[in-house]
Amino acid sequence: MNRTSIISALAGVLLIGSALADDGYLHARRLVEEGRIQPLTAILEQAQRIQSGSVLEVELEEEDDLLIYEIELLDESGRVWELKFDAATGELVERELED
Amino acid sequence: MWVFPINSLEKRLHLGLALSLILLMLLLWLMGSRFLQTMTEDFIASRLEHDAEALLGSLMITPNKFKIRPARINQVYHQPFSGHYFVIRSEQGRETVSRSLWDFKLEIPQLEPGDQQRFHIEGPNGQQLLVRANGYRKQGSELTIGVAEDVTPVERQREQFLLNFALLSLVGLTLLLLLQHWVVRRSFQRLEPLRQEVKALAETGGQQISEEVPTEIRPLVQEVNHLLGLLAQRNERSRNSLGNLAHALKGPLNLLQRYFDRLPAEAPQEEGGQAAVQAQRLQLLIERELKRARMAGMGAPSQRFDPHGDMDDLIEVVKQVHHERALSVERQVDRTLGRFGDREDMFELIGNLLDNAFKWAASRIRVVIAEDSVINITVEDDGEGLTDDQLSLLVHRGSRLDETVDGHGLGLSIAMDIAKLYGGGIVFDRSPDLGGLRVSVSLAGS
Repeated sequence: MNRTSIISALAGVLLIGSALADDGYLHARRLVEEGRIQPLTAILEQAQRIQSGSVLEVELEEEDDLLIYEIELLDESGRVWELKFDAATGELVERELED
Repeated sequence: MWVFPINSLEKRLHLGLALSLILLMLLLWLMGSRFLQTMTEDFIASRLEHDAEALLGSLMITPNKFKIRPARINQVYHQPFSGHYFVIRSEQGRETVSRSLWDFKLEIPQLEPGDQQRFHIEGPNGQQLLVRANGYRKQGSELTIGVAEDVTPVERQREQFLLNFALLSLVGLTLLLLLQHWVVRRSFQRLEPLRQEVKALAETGGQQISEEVPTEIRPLVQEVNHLLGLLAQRNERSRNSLGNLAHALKGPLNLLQRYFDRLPAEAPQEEGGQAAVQAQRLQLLIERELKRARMAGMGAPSQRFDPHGDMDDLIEVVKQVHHERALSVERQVDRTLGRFGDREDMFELIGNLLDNAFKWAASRIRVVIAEDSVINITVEDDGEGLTDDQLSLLVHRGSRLDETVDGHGLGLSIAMDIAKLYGGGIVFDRSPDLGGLRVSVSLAGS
């Protein structure tokens, strides 16, 4: 177990810089385990309340020392929405129609 | 067999059909539901197996780490909460999960190589996951790969299908019941001709009912036919014995009559005359019985009188009895008049009236049968008729007619009896048209 956490911590450190990398979820897993950010289900629940649609993509990014969930949603009429949440509090930061 | 009493064949058929169909459809529904579930799960599981093997193939194992060549696996395993997930678990308990799981924890058991498990588990966002976990050994390490798929869309489709099936079954059941209702109605309509035939039996007096009936009621019809045969036989037998008795009595009576005829001079007038009258009366009674047997022999028991056809026969018979008298008989019968009364009774009633008229008419007789609220039968002739005294005697002492009016005797008395039997009456007067006796009979019940 010890080794596992070291490895994932290492992976996390390595990946924090490259926020766009696909492996961001591994970082998120660790942060959720540590209780530092909200689980994705909670964020998605909130996102669905603001804008319903199916989840296309989720990314965890670091902007100005804040961990931000960037969620892309496809609504009923085929438009893609991008919603940004503060990963720690679950608050909506930004909502925009993607061009 | 039936718990509650239903006295309608149709309702019984409906209940039987409805119950068996509901049972059948329930069985089909249950089997269909099970079959669909097994089939879809097997299908999904086989896909999961392929994915697990593809994962196994793309897996690079280093002493402390699994690495997956991403190009080798399906994109759905990258899209967060897509409904397609995998977990690779080493024998040390180390896990590598698909990106689609994001931060969700999917628990799978650790399996020995070659072992396999399939189970349902709750996934993220309320998804229902079918998980297939397999134990493998690759490059010296034991590992378990669990691949999962969200089955909610398939489940929803299955539920929709089952709902549609149930609705369709209900519609089918209703249609079948309606169809059965129609078929049963049509089947029972085939019984209507039988009813008509039985009804006609009483009126026209056929001896048998046609056995061209549905198989199910043929035994019943055969029994009725058998019974009809028995009745006819019994009737015939009693009529024959009556006829035989009358015949047997005729001989001795004739001898008696002749004896009285030869007697007149010497014997004491009073008693001899009385005995002679009684002997004659007996002879008339026997004649009547014989005539009755002869007439009744023309048709089957309990027939009804046909005022058209039967009148021909009747007039013919009376003409034959009085063949020495050439008289014209005029007959007026309502065209619309149907059958009425018992054939034998009417033969006797009208026969007696005609017989009487034949005895007294000069040349013409008229018979009229008409119906208003009751049936009126009038027989008149152009004979001498009765005197007013005789007529008033008839009116006042009608029941002793045979004793009071010479020659008009027994026949009219019998006619009166029959008219009374039918709740009617007889009126005697002088025919305004022909001048002789007019007898008017009214019959209340037909």
